[in-house]
Amino acid sequence: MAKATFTFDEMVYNSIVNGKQIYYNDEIKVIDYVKLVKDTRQVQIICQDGEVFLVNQDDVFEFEVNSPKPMVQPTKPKLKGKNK
Amino acid sequence: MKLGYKKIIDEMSLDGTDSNLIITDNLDLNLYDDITSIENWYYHYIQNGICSDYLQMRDRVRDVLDEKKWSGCTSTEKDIIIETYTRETNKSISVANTEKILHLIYNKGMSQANAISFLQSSFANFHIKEIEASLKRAQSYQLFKVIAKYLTISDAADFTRTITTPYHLYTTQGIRGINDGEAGEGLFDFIESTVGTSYETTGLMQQGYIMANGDSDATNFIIELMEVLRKGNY
Repeated sequence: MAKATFTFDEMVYNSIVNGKQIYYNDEIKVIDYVKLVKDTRQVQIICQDGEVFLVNQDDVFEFEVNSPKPMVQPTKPKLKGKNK
Repeated sequence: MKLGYKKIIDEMSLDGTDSNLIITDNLDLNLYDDITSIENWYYHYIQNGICSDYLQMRDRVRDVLDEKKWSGCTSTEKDIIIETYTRETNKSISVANTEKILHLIYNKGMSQANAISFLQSSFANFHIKEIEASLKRAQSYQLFKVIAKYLTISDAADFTRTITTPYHLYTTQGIRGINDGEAGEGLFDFIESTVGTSYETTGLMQQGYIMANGDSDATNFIIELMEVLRKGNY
């Protein structure tokens, strides 16, 4: 065990991304952990092989997954929330 | 930086306008009288717009203050220092504010409560001008020219999206960075990857943009950006 500093969002992100495989161009990288950059939409990705790079959270990237989950055309009109 | 006024050699030396004012680091004392002072920076800025904006004039005032020190300033100079919300670079905010309050009490006849209120009002008035100057710099022709010099449009768009929040804080509140004010991390820290901040390893240099002018890295890009944003040379 060790003491380290994270934001709550980072704790949530890291519980998901640890061990996930992301494509850096054509090369598969295994994510060790991520750090969120304050006041930007940037994420610093630290890989298990020691490589480090930045990404924007709102951009789309390729991951190695069991089943792809793409956006698709809606089949029903937009559902409006219930305003209290 | 020095402020000079053309020496009166004969009646033809002055053309009746203040174009005989000069701002330079290397003042030729054979041609110009050195009129560098807190009062002259302040009043010539207001009357003749000799600085690019209010913050640049404030920088000039602070430079003189750093040499003279608060204790060496006249009462009028102290009034200007209070109005421009500046202090000696190496003096803490609390010490500077105490000195200002004492000046208002003993030299201006204010009560302590009125002096504190006056200081707060001075900050509010200064802050409006600070924001105006920051916005001018952020939307200046010179800044966009620098960006066009070093970045492709695609990278410029990426840069713009990445700094959206720090840019917004800069243009609406004048928040610049830990070395440029008291409001914490800001846009300047991202641009300069300031050591000890969130952007030390995630700032402009770390984006890896290919410089459109052929530079091997963003060093010169950063310098030219800060000429506009920090120094107000635009």
